[in-house]
Amino acid sequence: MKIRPESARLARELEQARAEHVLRFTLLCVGCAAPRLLRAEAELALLHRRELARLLSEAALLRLGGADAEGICGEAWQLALGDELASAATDGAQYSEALRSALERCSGASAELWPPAAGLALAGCVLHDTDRTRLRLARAWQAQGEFGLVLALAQEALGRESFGSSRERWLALVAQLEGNGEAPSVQEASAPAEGADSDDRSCVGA
Amino acid sequence: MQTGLAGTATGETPDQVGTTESGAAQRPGSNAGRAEAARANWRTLLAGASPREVLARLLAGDPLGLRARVAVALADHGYVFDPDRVLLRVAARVARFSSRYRGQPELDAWLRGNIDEALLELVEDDREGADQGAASSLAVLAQPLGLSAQTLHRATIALHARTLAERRAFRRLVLEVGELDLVARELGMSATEAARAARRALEAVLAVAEEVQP
Repeated sequence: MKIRPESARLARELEQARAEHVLRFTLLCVGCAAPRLLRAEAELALLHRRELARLLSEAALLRLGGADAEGICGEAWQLALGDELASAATDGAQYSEALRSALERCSGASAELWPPAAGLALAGCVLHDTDRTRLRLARAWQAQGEFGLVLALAQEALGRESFGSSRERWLALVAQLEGNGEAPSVQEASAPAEGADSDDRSCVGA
Repeated sequence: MQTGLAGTATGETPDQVGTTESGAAQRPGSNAGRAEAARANWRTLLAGASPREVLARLLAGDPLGLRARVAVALADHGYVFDPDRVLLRVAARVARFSSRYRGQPELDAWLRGNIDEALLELVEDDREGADQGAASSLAVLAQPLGLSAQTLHRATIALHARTLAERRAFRRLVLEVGELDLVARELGMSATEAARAARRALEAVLAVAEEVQP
């Protein structure tokens, strides 16, 4: 069939418009999807950080041993650490040299050879700061005799708005310190907190 | 933006998610059809790739029907979240732990476990202020209610601290304006108990809202 010039022009324009439409649609899809994928990847990175923080704070309890380590299976913990490190590595996670070294020391060795419990707990806290990781840090500091630091953490936690049961746990911890005669005054409690905090951070390097 | 209030983020009712009823399952685009296909092809979706690659697969067309599953879980738990925020958290979690999945438990149960864990994490994150962008995800819902996103966010935190029965009663009676007797039957309690549970949750939510915006 012979196509008239007018029809041919219209056909060309239609084809051009269609191509442009497809291009616009593609760009629109990419434009919509890209930020969403980035947000999802940020969630994935957060998940890696959270998992590592949980493992580090559990490592602190394993390092303390005794009643603190009850309920945490050392073998399962080692497997979980290996899995997390491998998985994070495939996703291109980067750790500081000090944290990598601390994790290597924990991997496969017996708990007595691990870095100090407070350092591990603090690293967990730095990676993902939650009441749970803070409570474990407080426990590690308590075991280390750093009662002023424990009280400072507790005061900060109790000063915040709290809807959960963690408030009760902090109150119980303070009551325990007071019961043991381990709770110094507020001034004594807050004074050494900053210095000791930075020391532990540099020790672990998280 | 979907707000996750009605448990129907995809426009399908919760009982259509993951069903194997032939009618629904045969519609390729339906959630049930997608869930059926996912059960058969989970290896293709979840195995042999890094979490990031799995994540990209999960977000391309939602092959596991996660959005609908999230809507069901939100309704079951009586939580009020931006479903997209939950969906991204769930997708990341499923991608992260995909390498551990070997077909047991059943895919539906495994996914539901991941969704429940993700919801608990989000509740905890909100309670502890760990997610700085959480409030902004509620901005679209807050505006028509005459609330700031921050106020609504705090109200949801207060709601999420209530018991399961109170949250579900609040959601069904206050947010979805369900019929009292019907909701009470659904929740397995008397109408009086359901109304009281919803009121307790409502009071907690209003207390926060009034505290912030007197």
